[in-house]
Amino acid sequence: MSQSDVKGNSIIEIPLESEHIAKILYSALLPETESIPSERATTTISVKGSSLFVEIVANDLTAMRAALNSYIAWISACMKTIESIDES
Amino acid sequence: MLVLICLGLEGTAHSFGAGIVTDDGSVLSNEWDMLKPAQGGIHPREASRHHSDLGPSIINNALEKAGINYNDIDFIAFSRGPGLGPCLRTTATMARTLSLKLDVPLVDVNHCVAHIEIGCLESRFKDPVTVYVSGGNSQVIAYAGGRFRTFGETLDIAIGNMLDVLGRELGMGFPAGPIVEKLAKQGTNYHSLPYSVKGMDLSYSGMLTAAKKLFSEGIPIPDICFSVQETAFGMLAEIAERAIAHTKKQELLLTGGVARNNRLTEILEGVSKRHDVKFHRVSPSLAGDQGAMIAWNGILQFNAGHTIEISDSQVLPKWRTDEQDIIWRA
Amino acid sequence: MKELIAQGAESVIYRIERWNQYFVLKWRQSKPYLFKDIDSHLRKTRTSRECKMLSVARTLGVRTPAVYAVDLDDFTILMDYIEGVQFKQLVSTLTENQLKGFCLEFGRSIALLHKGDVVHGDPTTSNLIIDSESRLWLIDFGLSEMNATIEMKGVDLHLIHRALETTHWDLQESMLEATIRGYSDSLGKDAMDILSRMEEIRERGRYH
Repeated sequence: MSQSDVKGNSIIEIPLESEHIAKILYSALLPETESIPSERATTTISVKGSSLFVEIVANDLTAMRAALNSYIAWISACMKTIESIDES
Repeated sequence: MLVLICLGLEGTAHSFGAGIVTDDGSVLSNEWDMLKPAQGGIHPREASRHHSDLGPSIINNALEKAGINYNDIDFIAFSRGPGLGPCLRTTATMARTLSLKLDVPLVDVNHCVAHIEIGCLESRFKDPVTVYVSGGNSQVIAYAGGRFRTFGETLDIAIGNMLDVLGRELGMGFPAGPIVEKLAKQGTNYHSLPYSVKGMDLSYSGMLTAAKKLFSEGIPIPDICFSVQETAFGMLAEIAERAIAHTKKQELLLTGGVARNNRLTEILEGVSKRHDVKFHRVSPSLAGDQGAMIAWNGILQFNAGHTIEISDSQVLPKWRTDEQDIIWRA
Repeated sequence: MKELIAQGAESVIYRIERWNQYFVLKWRQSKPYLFKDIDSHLRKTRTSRECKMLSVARTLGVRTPAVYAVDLDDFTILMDYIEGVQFKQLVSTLTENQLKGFCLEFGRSIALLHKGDVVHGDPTTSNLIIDSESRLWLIDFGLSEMNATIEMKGVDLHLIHRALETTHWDLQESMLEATIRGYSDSLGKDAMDILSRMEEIRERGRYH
């Protein structure tokens, strides 16, 4: 069994400042979870209170890593954007 | 007098841009940064990381330069396509976040259409034939029957991309276009290269192969650059000319990153003189991929009543120029 | 007696009268903004190619003007004058059935060329003439080529699609359907590969 055959599930929890922010991130990211059916990873997102949950089910670890990287980068960029607005 | 202020985000490929434009057509700011990959070529994932890393500060800079606050923004426009999937998605998520946080509408913009409309804004042209040439696009477009239609385009690689690949083969830096232009001026001998016009479409891959062969035969690089430019630009001129003859439009617009090339500009000026039409080359800050054009197009669409729901705003990497109803020109 | 009947992007068309008959004199003009070697090479190869391919097309059963003389120093061709109208101008005046009929025939003509491994190279509705007896003539063979591969034939069809969507956008679906039908009915099983190549070609020029 090679590394690329290892399937994986991951759930990351991003605790945020408020429910409001969590909902914003949820809505901003939701279209991305729906748009590409053919990728080797499927992502579902959800909100509980002020936390955002990102669950990734992947066919192989490379796909897992790529999906994780994308979502984390997007969340980071969106957070920085929100911070810029709050600070202004 | 209250003007509408739009923040436009561009991120279809290697450049991320944020521009702020008002509905009277004033560009208040236009900030951008382009990823320069270690080796040339196209790097969607690297570019999308570039956009997510630098995007928020580029947006901040745009607001600072424009002298406005986030609360002054009336709506957000973003480049929905066409382009590289990862880059588009990064841009879209940021745009949606802004729209939601500021509680303002969102407008989706077609990147190619935006290139045309900002050119029209700058030139005051009403209805041109547009030659749009960049790293990823080589199209001749004109408005007809409610849409911008692609009269001719590349069948394989875009001219900007071809010049970059050639430059890489010849050992030049990236982007190679300006270097090719400079060296071409020193070229003295013309070597025949495949001139490939098919109907109103063009093909550049044969030329690239032949140019590489010339290099391997020891032909001096300036001569290769000269020959490539004359042939490649001649081909573009031909299809631009045919589009003008066919559509009978009175204006010719040159835009996209490759518009900076002076020889191409000279040739297209010759075409416009021959057909007695007006010519305009879009200025460098508005010719490449940037946010101001997205913002301006956003304003045109918003004023015509078009916005988009966040939930409907998935990106469109293969969005064709002629797939959008140009409601603001109806 | 020489009368200017058309000024295109590349050439000027004159109608001349000689020996009590009308002829067309097609003259490929120089483009001063092109590098001179490229300019003269294009004029020469396109003139000689058009001259040859008009005749080749004829032998394949396609209606084309006959060529009487060619001058490769002046870049002119003397050929039949076809009394008629460009199909492009006619489209908006035709009934649905008439339009379908002409498109079917257009498709059949292209199929005849492709059967003979020839591609037209610029198959637009401006390059089709309908004469007073409703016969379809194919003109403008300057970009035509022989020994055509599936790729080249696919490009030919792609160009037809392109011509229809940019010029006859509101009728493009029915016109394309009829043209393709005429084409595949005439070409038979070979049409399938070419048609799928056409679809593939359309996707290629998109963003990379």
